[in-house]
Amino acid sequence: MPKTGVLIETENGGVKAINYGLLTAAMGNKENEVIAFITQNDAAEAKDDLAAYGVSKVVQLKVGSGDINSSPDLCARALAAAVEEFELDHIAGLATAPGRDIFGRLGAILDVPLVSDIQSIDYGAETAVKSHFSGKTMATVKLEGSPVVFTVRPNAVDPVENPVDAETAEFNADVADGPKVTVKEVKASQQDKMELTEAPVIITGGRPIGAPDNYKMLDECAEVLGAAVGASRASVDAGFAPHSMQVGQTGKTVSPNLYIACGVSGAVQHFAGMKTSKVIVAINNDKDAPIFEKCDYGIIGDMFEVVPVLTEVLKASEEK
Amino acid sequence: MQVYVCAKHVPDTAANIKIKGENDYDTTGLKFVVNPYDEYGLEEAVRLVEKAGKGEVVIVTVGPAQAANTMRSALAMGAARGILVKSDDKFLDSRTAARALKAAIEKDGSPDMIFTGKTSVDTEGSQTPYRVAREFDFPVANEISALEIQDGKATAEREIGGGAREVLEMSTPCVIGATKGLNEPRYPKFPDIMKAKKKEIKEFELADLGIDAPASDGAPVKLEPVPERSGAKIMQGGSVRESVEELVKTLKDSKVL
Amino acid sequence: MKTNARVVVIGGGCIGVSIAYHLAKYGWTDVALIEKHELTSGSTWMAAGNCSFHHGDYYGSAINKKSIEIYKNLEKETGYSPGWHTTASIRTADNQDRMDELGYTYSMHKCLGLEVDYVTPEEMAKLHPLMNTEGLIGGLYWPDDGDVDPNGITQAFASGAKKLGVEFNTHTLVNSLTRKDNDEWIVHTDKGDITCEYVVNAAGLWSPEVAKMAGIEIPSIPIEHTHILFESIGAVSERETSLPLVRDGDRSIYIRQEMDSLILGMYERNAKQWYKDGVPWDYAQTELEPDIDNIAENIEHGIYRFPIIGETGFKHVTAGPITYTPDANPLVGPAYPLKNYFLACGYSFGITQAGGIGHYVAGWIMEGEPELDLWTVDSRRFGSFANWAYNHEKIPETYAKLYDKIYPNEWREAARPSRTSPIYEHQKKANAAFGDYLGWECPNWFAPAGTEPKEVPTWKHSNAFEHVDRECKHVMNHAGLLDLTRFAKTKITGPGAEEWLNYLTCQKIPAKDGRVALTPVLDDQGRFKTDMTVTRVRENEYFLVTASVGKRHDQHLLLNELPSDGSVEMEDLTYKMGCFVIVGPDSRNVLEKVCYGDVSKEAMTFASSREIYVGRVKCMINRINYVGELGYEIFHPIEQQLPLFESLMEAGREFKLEMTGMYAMESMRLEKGFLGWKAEQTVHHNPLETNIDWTVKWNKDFRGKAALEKIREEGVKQKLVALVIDTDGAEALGYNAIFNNGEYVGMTSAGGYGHRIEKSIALGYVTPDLAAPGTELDVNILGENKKAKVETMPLYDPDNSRMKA
Repeated sequence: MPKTGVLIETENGGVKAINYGLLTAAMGNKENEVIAFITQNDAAEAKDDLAAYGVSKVVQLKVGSGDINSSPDLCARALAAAVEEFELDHIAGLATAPGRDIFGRLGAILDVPLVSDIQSIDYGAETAVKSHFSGKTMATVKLEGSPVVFTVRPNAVDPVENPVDAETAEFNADVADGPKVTVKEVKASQQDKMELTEAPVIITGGRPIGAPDNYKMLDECAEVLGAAVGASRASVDAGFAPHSMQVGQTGKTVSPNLYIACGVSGAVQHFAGMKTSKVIVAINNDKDAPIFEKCDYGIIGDMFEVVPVLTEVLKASEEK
Repeated sequence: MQVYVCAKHVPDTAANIKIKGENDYDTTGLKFVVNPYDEYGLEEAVRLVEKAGKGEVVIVTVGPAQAANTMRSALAMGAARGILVKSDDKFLDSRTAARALKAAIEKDGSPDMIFTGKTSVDTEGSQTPYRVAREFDFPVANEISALEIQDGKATAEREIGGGAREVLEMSTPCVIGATKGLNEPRYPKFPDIMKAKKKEIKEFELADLGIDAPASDGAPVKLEPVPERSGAKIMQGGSVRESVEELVKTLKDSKVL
Repeated sequence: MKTNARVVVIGGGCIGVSIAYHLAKYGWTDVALIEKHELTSGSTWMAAGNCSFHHGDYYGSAINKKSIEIYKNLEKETGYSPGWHTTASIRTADNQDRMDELGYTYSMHKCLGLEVDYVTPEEMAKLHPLMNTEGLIGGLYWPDDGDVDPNGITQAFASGAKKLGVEFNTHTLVNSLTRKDNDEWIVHTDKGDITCEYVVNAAGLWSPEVAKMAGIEIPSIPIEHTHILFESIGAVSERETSLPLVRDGDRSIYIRQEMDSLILGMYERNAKQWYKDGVPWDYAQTELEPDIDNIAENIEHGIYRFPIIGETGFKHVTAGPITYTPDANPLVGPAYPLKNYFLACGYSFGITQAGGIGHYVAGWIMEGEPELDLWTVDSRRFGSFANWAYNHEKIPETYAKLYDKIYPNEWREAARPSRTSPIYEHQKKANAAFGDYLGWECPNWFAPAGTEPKEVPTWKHSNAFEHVDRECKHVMNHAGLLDLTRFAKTKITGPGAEEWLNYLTCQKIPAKDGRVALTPVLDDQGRFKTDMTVTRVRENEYFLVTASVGKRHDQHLLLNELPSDGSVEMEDLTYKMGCFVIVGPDSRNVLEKVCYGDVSKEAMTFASSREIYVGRVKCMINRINYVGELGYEIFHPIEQQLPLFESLMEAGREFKLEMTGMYAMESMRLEKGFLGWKAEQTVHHNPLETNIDWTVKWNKDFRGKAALEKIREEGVKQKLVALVIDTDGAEALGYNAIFNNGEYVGMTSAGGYGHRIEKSIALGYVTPDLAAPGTELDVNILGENKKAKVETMPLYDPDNSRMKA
C-alpha cells in the first residue's frame, strides 16, 4: 500500500480543523496508508483526532536537541529525512503560509517536482487539479517524482471521516548542518487598518454611500470581518473616498478570499480589479444591477439597512 | 551591489485566457506583463542599488523571444540589463527554469541578492525562489512583505496567518520571494521607457547554458476554463435580518468565513 | 427571452443601450436588447469618457449638445449618476490656419447657441497652469464641456430602460437575420428567435458582421486607439477646481484630468488596423498590448505641451479597438436598401454622442423621420465605392488626420481615384484639379498649362480663386462643359407612376411628354426630404435626377415608397448614363453645330426635354441647368461618353467651349439662389420659406400638404435670403452665424464668391422680419463679424433672361 506522509498544523495545542480535508486528500480512496507528522504538539495528544480521519501513525518529528520550529529549514530537512526513513511515496501539506514555505523548501531539498495548492487528487490517474491563471482555468497536472510532493488548498477537499487504529512514534532527524534561515520572532497581528491589496476580505462601498462619513458603517463591519474597506471609482469620483481606496482597473487590483460589494453596480472596469476574488457577494437595492450576474451571492436591499445587520450578525456569531 | 531579479513573462491577469485544444492556450493578441509579484522584487532591487549608490539590477527571464518586450517594462523600472534564456515552453517545469536562471546568473556575475516573486500568476507554482536558492546554496525566504538588509544580514517579514508576522534572519547573499506590501512598484516615466529600449538584453538558448531541455512536456494534461459566474444566488429571506443570516450561514458553510 | 418585439437592438454598448432607453422613454417599451457578452464589453468600457460639444460639423455638434443635456439630467431620470463633470475645454492653435478653423467653429457654435469664446495664450496658461503655451497663438474655450463615465451612462440608460420594460438579454449571441415578406425581421440567437418590426444594428466592433447578416456592407473598421493614465500628480490633486480638457490638434493630442491625475490621448500617424477581416465573436473586455513605440511621437508632443507628464509614471496604458469610418462620422439611420433596419454604429466618439443619438434615432424609428437633420451621420452618404479595400486604404488616413485641420477645400488623397468618368484622361490632360464626390473624381477647377493643378487648402481665397474666376467669366461670355456623370439617375415606369410621383412631390408632375420639372419631395411635416428634377419621357415613363451624393438616400426613399401592387417600377440608371452640362450664351451654337435635330429656341424651350442625336450618340437633352445661363443637360449612354465628348469639344472649338469645374458651378448657383440639397434644403426647411415656394401646387394632394397649409396660415418662421457681404479674403460658408445688432437671428447655408457679379455672397435663413432686401446684418466669418446686406434674389440675371434665352 502506498504511503502518504502528511505534515499536520496545530494551534493552541490542538489539531486545526483544516487538516482533516488534507488527510482526506492524502488517503485517496483509502488507497494509501497515511502517516502524520507533527512538530508542535505531543503526538499522543493528537492521535485520536487524526485517527478519526485515517491516520494510522502519528510521528513526532524532532531534530535532536534543537528546536525544529526555530527554522523552516530545519523542519523541511527533517521532513526530507522522514521521507527516506518511512519510505514515503507521497508527502503532502496544507497550502497555508507555513505549509507553502515548508513544502517549497522540501521540493528543493529533494529536488523533485512540487505541485502546490491542489484542489483534488486522483492517485489512480496520477493527476491532481489546481488553478492556473489566477482562477480563470483549472489545470489537471501530472504527479511525478519520488516522492510525489504536493500541498492542498485549505477547505478545497471536504473532510471524510475514516476511523482507523493509530499508533504514535518519534523520529529524530539527523540534520547536521546549521539552518540558513532562523525565526527571530513572531509578531502578533497589528491593529492598524489593513492594506487593501493584502486583505483576505474586502468590503467595498459604491457611489450610493453618499458621503465620506458613511464609510464608517463599512469600517465597523470590516473590523468584525477582519477586512479592508474599498471604494468604487464612482464613489471616489464623487469625492466620497480617497483614491487609495479605489478598486478597479485604474485603481487597485485585489484578490481576496471574500469580496463584499455594497452599492456597486458591477462595471467592467471595477470587475477587472477584483474578479479573481474567490467569493463575491453583492448588496444592492437594484435587482437589475449587472453585478448580480457576475457574483456568487447577493442580497437585494438597501446597504444602509443590510450592512449594520451584517455587522451585528457577524459579531453575534463570533461570540458564540 | 549586484542584484538579479528573476522576472517571468506572464499573461496579464485581466486578460481572458483562450484555451486551445486539450491543454494549451492561444497567445495571439494576448497582453503579456511582468509577473506582478516579480515587480515587487524588482522595485526592491532597484531601491537597494539606489541606496547603495552603485551596482546594477539585472533582469533574468526564461521565456519565449517575445519576452524581450515584457522585459523592457522591467528595464524601464530601473534595471540596467536583461538576460533572456529562450524557451517556448509555456509550462516549463520549475526545476529546469531554476537551473536555467542559475546558469544565466552565474555566467553573468556574482549575485549579492536575488529577488523573485512569491509565485507566478500563470502556473502558480510558488517554488521558484526555493529552487533557485538550492541551485546557489543560498538562504531563502518567500512571501516577504518587509525587508531590511544591513551588514551582510537580511531581516525579512512574512505573514503566517491571522495577521501574525514571522521575522526571519539570514545572511546575504540570499534569495527573497517578494509579495504585495514589500513596496509600491514605481510607474515608469516616458524617458525611462524610451531609455529601456536601448538597454542590453543578452539572449541564450538553454543549450548555451548547458541545460538539457526537460524530458517531458511540462504542459498540464488538461486545461479547462472555469466558467464565469453566471448569476448570483440571491438570498431569499423575507426580512433584512433573515437574508443576512442566510448569507452568513452560506459563507460559513462554504468555509469562506 | 421574448419571441416577439417591436424593436430589437443588437449591441449593448452605450449606443445601443441609449437607443433602447429612449425608445422606451418615448413610449415604445416593447423592445429587446441583445448583447453577446455583457453591457459595455466592446469599446465602451475602455473609452476615455471625453464629452465635448464640438464635432466637426454643425449637426454633429447639435447631437453632442443634446447628449450633454441628457447626461446632466440622467441621474434625475434614472437614479443612476453618469458621473458627469463640467470641466470646460480648450482647443489650441499654433498657426493661422488653425485659428481660422477655430473661427469657423466659433461661428458655427454660435448658431447652436453654445457658450464659446476666444482665449489668448496667457488666459490659457491661467486656465491650465500645467500647460506650456509656447508657440500657441490662441484658442477657443468652452466653459460647459466636460467628461462622463462611459460605464455610468450605460448603466444609467440600462437601469432606466429596464424599469420601463425593455428586455435585456446578455450573453446572447445573434447568429443570423431573416427578412420576412412582410418586412419584419427574425433575429436568430443562440437562445432562440425573436420576430420584430425593426432591427437596430448597434453592434460596434461587430456591426459589419451584423450588417452582413442583412446582406449589406458598411464602411467601419476597428483601429487601435490608446490613452495613458498617469500616476497621481500633486499639482492636480491639490486643485479645488477641475482642469479643462485641452485638445492640441496641431500636435494631435488631448489631455484631461482624471481624478488626481491626467489622461493623455492621441491620434498617431501610423494607424494600426485591428482584425482586418472581421472581429472574432468571442472578443470581449480585453485590452490590447500597447505599442508605445507607435505613439512615442505623440507622447513627446504631450510632454512638450504638458511638461509634468514627462516626469510622471505611466500608471495604466489603455489600448483598445475603436471603430472608424472614412470620414470619422458614424453610420446612422435606415440602411440602404433595407426596410426597418437601422444602423447606429461606426462610432469614434461614441461616449459623447450616445445620449443625443439615442434620442434622435429613437425618434427617427418612431416617427419615420428624424427630428434633427442627420445627413452628416447618415450611413447612406457612402456608396458602393466604400468597399472593403477602399475602407482599408482610406480609414487609416482618416484616423491619422483626425485632429488635422478640416479645410473646406482639402481633398484627401487616400484611396483615390475610386470612380472616374470615361473622359477622365481628357480631364487630366486639361490640367484638372480633382475632388472626390461620392467616390467620383470630378474636376473642381482647371489650372492653366504649366501650372500644377494642386490647391493649397486654406480658409481664405486659395490659389484656385483666380482660375475659378476665369472659368465663371468664360461661361458667362462663351460656353463651358460640366461633367455631372455622377448625378443619381432613376427611371420610374408603370401605370401607377404619374399618380405615385404626384403624391410624392408638391410640384405638379409634367403631364406632357418632353417636359422637366423641379420637384421637391417633402415629409409629413412639409420639410425637405430631397429635391429632384423629373422629366416625363413619355406616358408612364419618367426620368428622375437627384444630387449625386444623395443617391442612396434618394433611391432608398423611392424604394420604400414603391407600391406593393407592382404598378410602379424603378431602375437605377446612374452607372448606365453619363451627363454633360453645356452652359453659356454659346451653348446653343455648339449644339446646333454638332446635333442632328432642331435645338432652336422654339424647338427647345426652357425646361423642355428632347431625344436628340449629338453626333452619333442618341441623348436625352434637358434644357435646364444649375448655373443660370442658357444651358443643356445632356444625358447619354455611358459607353458612348468619349465619342460624345470629342464631338462636342470639336464642335465647340469655334465657340471656345472649355471644361468647367465644380467650384465655378457652386459660385454660379449661389449667384442664382439655386438651392442645394442638405445646404438650403435640410429637414429644418420647407419650400414656403424659400424662393421655390412656387413649386407647391395647392390644387392637388401631396405628402406634407396639410402641414404646409398650416404653415401658410401661421406664417413661416424663417426665410431664405441672399446676402452680399463686405469681406475680403475669407468668404462665408455654411453654418456661419448671422447677427442683427448683436442678436443671433439665423445662419448661412452656403457661401462663396460670386465671380460673375464680383461680390462675396451667402445664402441663409433669417427671421421673416429681416428678410426684406436692404436689411443690414452681420455674418460671422472665421470668428469676425462682417457687414452684410440682404439683396433681391437672384443676384445674377434677375429676370432670368439669360437662362431662358
